[in-house]
Amino acid sequence: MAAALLGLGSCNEMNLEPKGQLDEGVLFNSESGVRKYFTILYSDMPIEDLCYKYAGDGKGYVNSRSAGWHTGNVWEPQKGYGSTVAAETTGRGNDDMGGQWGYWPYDRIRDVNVFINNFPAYKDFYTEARFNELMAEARFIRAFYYFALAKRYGGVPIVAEVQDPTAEISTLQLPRSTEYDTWMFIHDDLQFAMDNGASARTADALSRGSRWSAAALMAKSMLWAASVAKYNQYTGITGEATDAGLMGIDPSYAKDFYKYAYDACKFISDGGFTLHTGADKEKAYTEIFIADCSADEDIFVKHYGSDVVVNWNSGLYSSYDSMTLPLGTGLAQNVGCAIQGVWEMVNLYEHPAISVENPDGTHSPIYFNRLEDFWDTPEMEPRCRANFFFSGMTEPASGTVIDMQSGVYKQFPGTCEDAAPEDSNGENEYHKANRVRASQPGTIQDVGGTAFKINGTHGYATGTGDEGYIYTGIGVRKYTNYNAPAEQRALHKSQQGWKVFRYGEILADWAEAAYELGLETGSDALKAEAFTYVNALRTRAGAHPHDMVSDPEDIGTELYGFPVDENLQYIRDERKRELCIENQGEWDQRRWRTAHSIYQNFWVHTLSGYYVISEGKYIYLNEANPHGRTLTFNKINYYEPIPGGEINKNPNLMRNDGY
Amino acid sequence: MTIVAGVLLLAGVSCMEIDNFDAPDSKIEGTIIDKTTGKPFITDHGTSSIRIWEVSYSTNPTPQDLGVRQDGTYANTKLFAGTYDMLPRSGAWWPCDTTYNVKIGPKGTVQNFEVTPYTHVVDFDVKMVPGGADSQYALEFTCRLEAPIKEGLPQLTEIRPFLSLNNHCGNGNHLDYYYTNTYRVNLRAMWASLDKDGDGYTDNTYTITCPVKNGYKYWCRMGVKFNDTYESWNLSEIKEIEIPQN
Repeated sequence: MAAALLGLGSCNEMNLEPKGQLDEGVLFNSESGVRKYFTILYSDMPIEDLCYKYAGDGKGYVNSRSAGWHTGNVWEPQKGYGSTVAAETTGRGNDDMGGQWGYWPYDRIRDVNVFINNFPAYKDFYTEARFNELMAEARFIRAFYYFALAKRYGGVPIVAEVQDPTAEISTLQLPRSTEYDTWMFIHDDLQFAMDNGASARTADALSRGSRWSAAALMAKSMLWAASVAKYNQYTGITGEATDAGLMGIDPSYAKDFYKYAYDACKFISDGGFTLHTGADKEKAYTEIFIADCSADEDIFVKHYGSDVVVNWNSGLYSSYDSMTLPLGTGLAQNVGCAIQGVWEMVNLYEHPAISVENPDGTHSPIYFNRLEDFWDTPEMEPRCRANFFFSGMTEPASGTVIDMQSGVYKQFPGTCEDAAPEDSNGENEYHKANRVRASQPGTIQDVGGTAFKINGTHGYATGTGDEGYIYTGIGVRKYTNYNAPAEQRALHKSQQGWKVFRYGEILADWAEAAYELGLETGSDALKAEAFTYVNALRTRAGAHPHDMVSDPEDIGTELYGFPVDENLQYIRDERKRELCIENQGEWDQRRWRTAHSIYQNFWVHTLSGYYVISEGKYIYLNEANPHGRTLTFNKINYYEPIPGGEINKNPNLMRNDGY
Repeated sequence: MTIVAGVLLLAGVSCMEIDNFDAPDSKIEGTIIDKTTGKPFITDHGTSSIRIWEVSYSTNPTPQDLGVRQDGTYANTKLFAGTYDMLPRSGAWWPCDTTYNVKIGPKGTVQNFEVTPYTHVVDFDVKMVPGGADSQYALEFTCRLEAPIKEGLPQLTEIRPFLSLNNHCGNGNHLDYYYTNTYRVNLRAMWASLDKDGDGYTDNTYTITCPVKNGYKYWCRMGVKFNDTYESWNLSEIKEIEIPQN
């Protein structure tokens, strides 16, 4: 029988080049071929964008293949959005803060190494400058992949050559390099890309690796390396990986890394990048994330499109608007409010006070004539309004006024603490005696003989669960598309892109690098320089400038167990104000080694507006998250475990300490 | 044609036997002993563990962790027979040496380990006191710390009370309500600054008061957390206390 089967096969000559396949010779000898070759490298690039999911089902980067994390677009990445584990927003994504899903992109690193190694053979097809630009682009791409590895694992195997799969296996089982060497490898790739990369600043050019995006990644990655060098020692983690230099960097290198970051920021500034602004600062701030800002702020942009037009598996579209806005006509068509704002974030901005302290240390609420008085006032900085929706604000695309009144109080005889205990969200005696809430949004109900509006049409409603309507009194506005027609506010229909790097981040990098460098070198001039960048951000935001404190107090020892002075804390807070909801805050708190001190059963709070019937006025309370999700971060998660499957293949991979 | 090929393929897959390999049945048990007292090291579920590596076959084996019980004992009856290296690893004790080449088989092996705790939680007491505005009663927790070895201790992070509604009580099992900044002593200090007279005991007695509910029985203990790799805890003994109905 077997012979009969074989007999059915033909006997054609097999040793032919396949006709349907583009090989290196076709791809590398023209710009369009190189562009095609780079497509998968950009497609799989570890960008923490609107499709990045930090935790839960299908977590990970959007990806073109199924290697343990999600392929294509998933409909609900906001349920595991990074800002929910950084106390910038809340939602369902606050489990598993370690985010361990075995990222190990050496297949793509091999692809880029093939280009770097073989492209010189095609040099004659290009001018020298263009050849170098394409080579620089590849080096930038390789650094981007290594950055995503180094920030997770510390030192990783450095593969800079194209390995031969038929070689002696022991030569393929590379050990991990030290964390210092890994960051320096990234530095060298990026330095080459800064020196040789393309310098055009058109919207198309800024969607690919350029000298500017290389400098932005240089600033970000060198700041990371510097933070590890300076702060990892305080975690108290010991073990053989630490001893081998795979986790942590000698503190004496912190100065060098801060300097690399500082220089990269200056390089971008010298390139003519500026902050996007306008006469209406709130509106201008929302434009940064939606509009083409290639003339001023954009440095590296990932463009999205319609799910009908772009490849379904590309992930170049999202469900973001439907996951941030509440359900309603012209607002979210599906799900709604998978992430919501929290008071911990809003409270970092300039805003009117909502309570006064009593002599005994308790607080009494301030009475407002309207809920709008919290935000419709010069006391609130425009940047805060641009990032969040508050009760009474008009959502621009639909023209809908968002109403998030939480309930009514018949009277309010007590203190804020009676009505809103810090660490508890249950109904207490005070609530039973005084408060009325409703299970469905937009309820009008009889209270003491008169009909009152109990709550808003967009929340808070006790009977609608943790999605659909707003329970925190704060909606997420950043990145929500103010131009979107109603039909784009549904699953998979959001088309706004992602600003991977923008000049606002560079100024935040620059301020931190300058101040830390000032601390390292004892230079007051550098420290003062840091605050010029802070104030550039604040001025654009419409906030008041902040002066550096000349004799700063140490506030870090009590909070984190090691010194961080109040000026540095202010710079970090400014970074959070500028970059919140951009999947940055959680990583920042990891590199500063502060997450495990901050997040121990940590509650986030609401901005719940109530109508007080006896006064005929409104108050705001900061209630503990009604859905009870708290944040905890364990110290060993500063480094993730090397994936077990990789250790099985390569016994030379040393495990990280703590696992 | 497809059908013929399918039948052929099936015919090719012979030798389908059931998996008759025996389930692992080798046993190990033992106790973590506090070297300074000679008694078992008291801990709680999920806080302390022993790491083992099966070294019979591999030079870089996947480690397994054996949990340590609240009373300081451990046991596992479902290991593969072989040679193991063992290390009491995550717990609030001074680092100790790996015990090499422990033979584990179906007959069972007893392997005890001696460790030196970072500290002992001493003079632990919990008593019922009048509550505040929201509760009739509260529990007042007090303790001091004693360090067998003072030099080189990791930073002490915090002291917490642990309340539980069953006899499993500690960092691994407690009422989360009390696991907040309100109910703790934030130490963030090295030992020398807590023990200025150098007698091996903290100068202060630490007190934390927690409002409690009427009619409940609480299992209570206190613990101190260290800034080491595992953020490990030394814990006091457990005391039970019942709150009256009124």
